[in-house]
Amino acid sequence: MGTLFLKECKIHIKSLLFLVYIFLFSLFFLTQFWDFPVVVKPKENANGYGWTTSSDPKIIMNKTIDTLLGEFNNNRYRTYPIGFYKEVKLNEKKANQVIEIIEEIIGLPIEEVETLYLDYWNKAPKLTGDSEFDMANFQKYEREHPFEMPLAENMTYEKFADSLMKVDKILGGGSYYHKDNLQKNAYIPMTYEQALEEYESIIRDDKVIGAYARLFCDYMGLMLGILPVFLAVSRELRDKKSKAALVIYSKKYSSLKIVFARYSAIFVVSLLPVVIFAIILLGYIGLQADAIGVSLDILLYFSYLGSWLIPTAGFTISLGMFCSVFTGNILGILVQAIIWIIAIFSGNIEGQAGFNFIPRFNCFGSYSSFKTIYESFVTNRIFYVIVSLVLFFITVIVFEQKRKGGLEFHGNLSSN
Amino acid sequence: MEIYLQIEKVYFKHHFCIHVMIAFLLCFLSPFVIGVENLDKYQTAKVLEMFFSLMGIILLIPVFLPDFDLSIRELLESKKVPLWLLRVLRLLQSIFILLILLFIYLLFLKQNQCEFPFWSYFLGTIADCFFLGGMGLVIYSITDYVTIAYLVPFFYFIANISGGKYLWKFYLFSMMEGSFEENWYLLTLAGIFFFIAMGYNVWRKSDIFMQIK
Repeated sequence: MGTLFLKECKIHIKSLLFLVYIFLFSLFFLTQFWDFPVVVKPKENANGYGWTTSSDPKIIMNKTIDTLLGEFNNNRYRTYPIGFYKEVKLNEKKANQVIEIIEEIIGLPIEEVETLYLDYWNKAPKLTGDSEFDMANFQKYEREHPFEMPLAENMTYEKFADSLMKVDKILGGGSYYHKDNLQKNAYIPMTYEQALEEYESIIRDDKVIGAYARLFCDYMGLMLGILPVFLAVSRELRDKKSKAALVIYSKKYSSLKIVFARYSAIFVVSLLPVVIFAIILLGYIGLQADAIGVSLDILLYFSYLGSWLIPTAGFTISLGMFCSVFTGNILGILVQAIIWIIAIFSGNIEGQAGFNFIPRFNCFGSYSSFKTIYESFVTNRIFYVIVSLVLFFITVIVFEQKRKGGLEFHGNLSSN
Repeated sequence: MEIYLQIEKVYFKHHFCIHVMIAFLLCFLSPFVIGVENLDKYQTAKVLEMFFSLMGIILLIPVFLPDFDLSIRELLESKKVPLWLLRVLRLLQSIFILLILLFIYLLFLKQNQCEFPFWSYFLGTIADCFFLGGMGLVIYSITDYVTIAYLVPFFYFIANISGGKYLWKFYLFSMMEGSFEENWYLLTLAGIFFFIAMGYNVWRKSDIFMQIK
């Protein structure tokens, strides 16, 4: 079995596809990680420290109104009705319904509301093109002049949330006006104290290495969600092209051993570039940790990588192998591409697991945010390990059936 | 003429119909996943360039799949109808179905009160589709690797999402930014891709190529 595994690895490593695979992976890594984040202690009286969300009901209400008026003016509403990003544009009738709700919340006619809103934003600093400078400037304006809109008399947070739910319903659900999503609108500039706490959290809770590991896994997950399927499908097509199936079927190895050897070879080979880049990144993290005086927790690093990336790669390979063994053609690539595109364009990239096979956490640090999604993250990973194993065993059954001469389709699916 | 119709029928029935079904299914499901109502011209361009352009990969690359098997390819090469003509006929069928699908999809968008210049967007989207499909075809014809033929155009599509500024005039999502100039470059290069893909197998076996090799 070890010999079979090594043979399978050699087949992949010697192929042109693997060369292209490594090249594309490397290109992606270099372009995305060229500017590695740097752990730096925030300085007092700096222009800006980034953003955070507030749980203060008054701030949530004001920032939600700000978001709603912005989207209302552009007639572009971000929604995630079934977990996938969908931009909604309203017709006149529905837009008028939204106007009624805004007037109900604020207690003023829409024209006056618009005047107040535009008045605030016209005084905001203008963009200069220098994104860092613009961001710092804007944060200063927000701190000195927080967005505030008068509310209707007796407008409590509960009444406010109920009114916004009507907007969510008009939009088809999944918007930032659903009562469970209101806090996501409450972005406020971080203060020095909050930034310092964030910095100390990276050292204390993340031990520096955890923050880098999560960001690395977020990016690598994007590639592992699609690229390994090409290796999986190519392996099956290679047999078909060289008509090796009959020879393989007659060998003494069980179907389980053959499929397992192939699966594990694809698994190891597809993760090879990830391991190499992880080691390169480890060198960089080591320098960062040395500068701060923190020791490297290698076990934590590879625990993150293993638990995050293995289920994603496993699912991709399992699905690719199942589709290619079952149909004998490139259908696995199309199926995986569709699933990948849906996964990429769904959800929040700054902290989301759900049932997405590519969990996202595209921010450096934010340990407290990661803690809030930790449970759903663990459930997600276990789910995809189980799904991968189920698909693997179904593939073994299909392979065995084909070996016995079953599952022969004389027609479309069995041909290309 | 009859033999050409027979070729088209066999290609569709035994090889192409599953790809057509997938393309139609994706377009049918798109309103449930992405917004397709009351869009302005920039939002419509986004739907076409970031979603519909992938139909070029799904519908054009299968042209070479029927002769994926080497023995079938050798058998076809021995027939009266040359292999390059077979492939051109398949390509014409793929292009025809792609054009029909795009036309229907644009009509659907118009029905949903989307505002956009119909024929400009038709041509612009076709340029994207042809470019991605043509890229896959030329890679397949040269490497004989069907998986690389799908991998590279797909990766190019991903590269456009994050690194469009590095792609100069071959940027796929230019209509979203109100520009059509890039579509002409894409269409021209797509034509070159088709020409090379269809002709490569012929040149590879020609006396001149053998001498150069």
